[in-house]
Amino acid sequence: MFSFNVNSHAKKWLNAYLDGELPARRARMVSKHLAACLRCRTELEDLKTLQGIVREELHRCSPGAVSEAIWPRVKERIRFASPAGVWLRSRWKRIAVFSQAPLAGAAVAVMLLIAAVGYLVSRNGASRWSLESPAIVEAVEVGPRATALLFVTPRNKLPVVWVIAEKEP
Amino acid sequence: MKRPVGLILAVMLLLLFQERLAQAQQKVSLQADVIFASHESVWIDPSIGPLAEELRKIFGYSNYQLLTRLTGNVVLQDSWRGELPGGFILMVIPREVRDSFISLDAWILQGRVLFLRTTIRLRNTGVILLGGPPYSTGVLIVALSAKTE
Repeated sequence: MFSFNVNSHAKKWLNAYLDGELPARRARMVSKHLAACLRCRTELEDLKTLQGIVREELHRCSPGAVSEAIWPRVKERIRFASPAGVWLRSRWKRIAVFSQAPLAGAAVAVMLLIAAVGYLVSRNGASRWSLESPAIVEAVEVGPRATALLFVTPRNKLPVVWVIAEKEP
Repeated sequence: MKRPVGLILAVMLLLLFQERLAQAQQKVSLQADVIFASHESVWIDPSIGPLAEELRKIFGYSNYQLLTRLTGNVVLQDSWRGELPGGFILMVIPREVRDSFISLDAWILQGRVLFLRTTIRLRNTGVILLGGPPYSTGVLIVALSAKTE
């Protein structure tokens, strides 16, 4: 039977819970767990905050307005969105390593939208990232003045490599 | 009795060579659905399927339209190219098939300029989405899938 306990938090279901995609019974279990678990409630609040920030920035950035760098704006906003900022910044460190290791010299930044759309898990250190989906993205490189966003879709866990290119100044 | 070491070795080498040859000649079927996402209208092309709804939730575009479906078959290490709208070029080279995963390199080029390069291991019949090339009043999303027999 599906259940949570102190050692088994509802973290893996929170994205789907937030999107209203869990079956009713499972959603009730998550609600029940959230009522009793401060850690998962905090995690859920972080997810809500980050979802809002990232979606808003992505929305503002699209469709033709990709001329502005999305990441600095998101990062700036996250700085003031504690504790979500702490949560994402802790992951950003790992991502920064990833972007430098196999792609030295390339104008690359890789940004995770873990909170917004899914999970990304590191494997074998920082050189390879495995998505919790039937795919492993081993390397991403983009052209100059561009940023790659790497994430999975919430329902089908499809990997997405999204490039935001800035226009020439 | 003299051991036929040489013969055994030759047979083993032949088997190894045959396996490598078979692997090298293995065909990979590729398909790239090129989707145009924009705010031009509120309409989702039904031919995209449930993926469009998922993308809409993430990115918030209101209009998803399947522009074209590119398909092809290539052997490992051969390149497959397809033209995307807006002067973009999609190039894919399947590298290896192992444990039901297909390793491949994919590029999106804007003319001769790199827009995106990625190295991925995709489960057989799996799909990866490559997005972001600006086109018209929106962006292109390429749903790239690969499968092998």
